[in-house]
Amino acid sequence: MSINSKKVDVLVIGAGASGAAFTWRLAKSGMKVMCLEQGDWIDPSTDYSTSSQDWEIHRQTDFNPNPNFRSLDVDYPINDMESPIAPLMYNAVGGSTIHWSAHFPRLKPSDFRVKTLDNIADDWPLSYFDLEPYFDLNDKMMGVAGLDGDPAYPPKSPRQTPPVGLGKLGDKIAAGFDELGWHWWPSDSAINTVEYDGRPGCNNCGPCDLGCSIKAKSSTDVTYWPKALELGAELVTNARVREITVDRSGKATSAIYYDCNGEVREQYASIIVLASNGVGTPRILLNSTSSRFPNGLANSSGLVGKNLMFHPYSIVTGLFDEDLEGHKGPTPLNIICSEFYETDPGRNFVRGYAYQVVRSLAPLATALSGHIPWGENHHDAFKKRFNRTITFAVIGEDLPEIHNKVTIDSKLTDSFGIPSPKIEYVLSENSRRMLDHGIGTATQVMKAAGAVEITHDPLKREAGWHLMGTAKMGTNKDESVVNKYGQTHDVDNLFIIDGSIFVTAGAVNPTSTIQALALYIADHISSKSRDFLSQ
Amino acid sequence: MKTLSKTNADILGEIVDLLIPAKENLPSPTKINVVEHIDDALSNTPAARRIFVESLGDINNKQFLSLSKMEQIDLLEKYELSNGTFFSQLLRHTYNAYYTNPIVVAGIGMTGKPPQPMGYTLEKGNLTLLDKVIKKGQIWRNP
Repeated sequence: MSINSKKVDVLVIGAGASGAAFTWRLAKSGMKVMCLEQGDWIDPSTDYSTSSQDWEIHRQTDFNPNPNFRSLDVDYPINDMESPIAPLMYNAVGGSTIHWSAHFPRLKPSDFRVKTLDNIADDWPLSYFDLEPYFDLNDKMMGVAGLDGDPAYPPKSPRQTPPVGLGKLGDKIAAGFDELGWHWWPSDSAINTVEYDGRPGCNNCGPCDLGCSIKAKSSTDVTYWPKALELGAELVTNARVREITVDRSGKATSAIYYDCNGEVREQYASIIVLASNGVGTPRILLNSTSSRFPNGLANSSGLVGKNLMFHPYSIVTGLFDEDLEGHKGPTPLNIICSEFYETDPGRNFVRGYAYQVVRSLAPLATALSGHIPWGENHHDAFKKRFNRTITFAVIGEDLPEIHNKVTIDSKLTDSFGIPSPKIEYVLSENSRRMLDHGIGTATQVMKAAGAVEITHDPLKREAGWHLMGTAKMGTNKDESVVNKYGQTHDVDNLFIIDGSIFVTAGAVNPTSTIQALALYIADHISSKSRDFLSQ
Repeated sequence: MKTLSKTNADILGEIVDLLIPAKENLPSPTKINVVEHIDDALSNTPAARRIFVESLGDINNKQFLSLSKMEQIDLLEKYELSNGTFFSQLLRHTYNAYYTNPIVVAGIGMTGKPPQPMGYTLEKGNLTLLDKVIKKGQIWRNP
C-alpha cells in the first residue's frame, strides 16, 4: 500500500452535487481540500453522444442511468433484486448531475416539520429558513432558470435566467391545469436559458439525461469544479474508496482507496467528509469495520443504511391528436404542479405529491414504448404517437421506514473486490395510496387538456434517482447518525453531506437541498476549523 | 457479416422487413442496412449473439424462407408468444438500427440530424395561463 505523504485538512469522498459545492466553499475559506472521485472527468465537447446519429442507443448502454446495465469500469454493481425501484446514479466528476434532468426545486418549509405538522416521522433539526441563504447562494453558483413568484414557495431570490420555454406542448397542458384551476408553474431548472456565468444558453436539443455538450446544463463539473480547482482544491479521479480508518481514540484518520492502476493508497486528513450518495455513503461506512466499530463506522445507532427513501414515481401519459412538437426543448419540460403537495386530512394518506411534466419521447424511445405494433400497422401507429404525448411523472413523498435499507451484499463486489451494496425496499401503503391519488388527478388534467388516450405505469422501476435517508440527521445519537451539521455523532471529525442525511424526503427532486446543506455544513466546518485542525 | 451466417442474415433480413414494412418515404430495414447493424451489435454482446444464432437456426428449420408472407407472419406471431426473450431483443435491435438512421429520422418529420449541435427553437409559451394560479395566492404551508 502506498501512503500519500501529504496530509490534507479536509478529504471529501465523491465529486458530485454535494462534494463539488462543499469543496468549493471550503477551498474559498483557505482550507486545504482534496476530493477523491470514483469516476473520471467527462469532456462535454467529445464524450457525449448527442451529436451522433445513434445518440438514443446510448441510453441503453454506456449512458444507461442504471449502473448494473451501464457496467462501466468505474461503476459498482448493486443488488437490487429485493426492491421494486432500481437505484440510479452516475460515477464521474459531477456525479449524477452528469445524467440528471436538472430539476431544481427546493424542499418546502413544511417538509422540515412533518412531525410537528402531521405527527409522522421526525422534524429536521433545521428549517427551510436556516437553509434559505444557502439555497440562494447555490442557485447563484449553479445558475437557475425559473420564474419568480411561485405561490407554492416563500418568495425566493431572483432566478438567474428566464424559465425554460413551454413550447406548444407546454401550452397544451397548461390549458388543462387552467381549466381545473389547479396550481402549475414553470419549475426551477439548473439550465441556462440564456448565457450566464460564462456558459451559453440552452439550444433546446432535448436529451439532458445524455449530458450537455454545450454546458448549458449546470452539472457540477462545469459549475463548481472549475472554480474550486482555481481556488487550489485538489481532485483525484479514478479513486475508489474501500474504507475509512480510525485511530485508537476513535477519530477518522484516512481513506484507503484503489487508484486508477488498482494500487491501494492511503490518504490522511484532519477531517473526512462523505459525499457519495445515499447508497455509496452507507456502503463505505458499513465496509469500514474495526474493533471499535464492528458494525460499521458511525453506526452505534444501527441506523447507517436504514430508512432508505426513494421518490416513488407513477407515470401517466396522455396521447393527443395533434403534433405538439414534443421533441423540442429539454425533455423534462419543467412545469411542476404543487396542487397536492401539502397534507389534506380529507385524503387517505399523509403528506403529498407533485407532478413534473415531461415532453414527448424521441423516435427510438417512441418505437420501443410498447405502444407501437410491428407489421403492417407499424408506421401508422408510430405517426399517431410520435410528438403527440405528454407525460406526468407523479413524484410522491416517501416516508422513512426502518426496513427499507442498504446493506452489504455477502457475495457481490466491484472489480477490485470492494463489497457492493444490497437494496431492500418495500413501497409503503401510504405511498401507494398517494400515488394512486396522483394517477387519478393527473388523469383529470390530461382529460381537461384534451388527451384522447391515457395510460399509466403505477410504479416506475427505473426511477431511483433520489437516494436519501440512510445516515439520518437528528439531535439524539440513538435515533440518528449525524447532527444538524452533518457531523457523525460517533466520530467528531467525520461528516456526511449527501442525501443520506435527509430526515424526510419531501416530494421534489433533492439536489438543490442537498447542495444547500453541503454549503451550510461547509460554513460550519470553516467557522470551527481552528478546533478541528488543532486536534 | 461479423457474426451471422449468410443463411441467418438472409432470414433476419426477411424478418426485419416484415417487422417494419416500407411505406411511402420510409424505407424497408434491409434498404438501410439494418441487418448489418444488428450483426455488428451482436458481435459485442455474446449472450445476445447466442440467442439470435439459436433462434434463427430454429426458424430456418421451419423452412422460413420458403414460406408465403402470411405464413411467415403467422410463424413470427407464434414466436413472439413462445420465445419472448429472443423476440424482444429482435425488436429492440431492429428499432435501434431503424430509428437512428438519418433517412428514417428525416422521414418521420425531423431534420434527420442528431440533436446537437443545432438544437431547436422553442417558444416561450403562454404564461398568461398563470393568472388564475397567481390570483389564488399562497399554497405553501407555513410551519
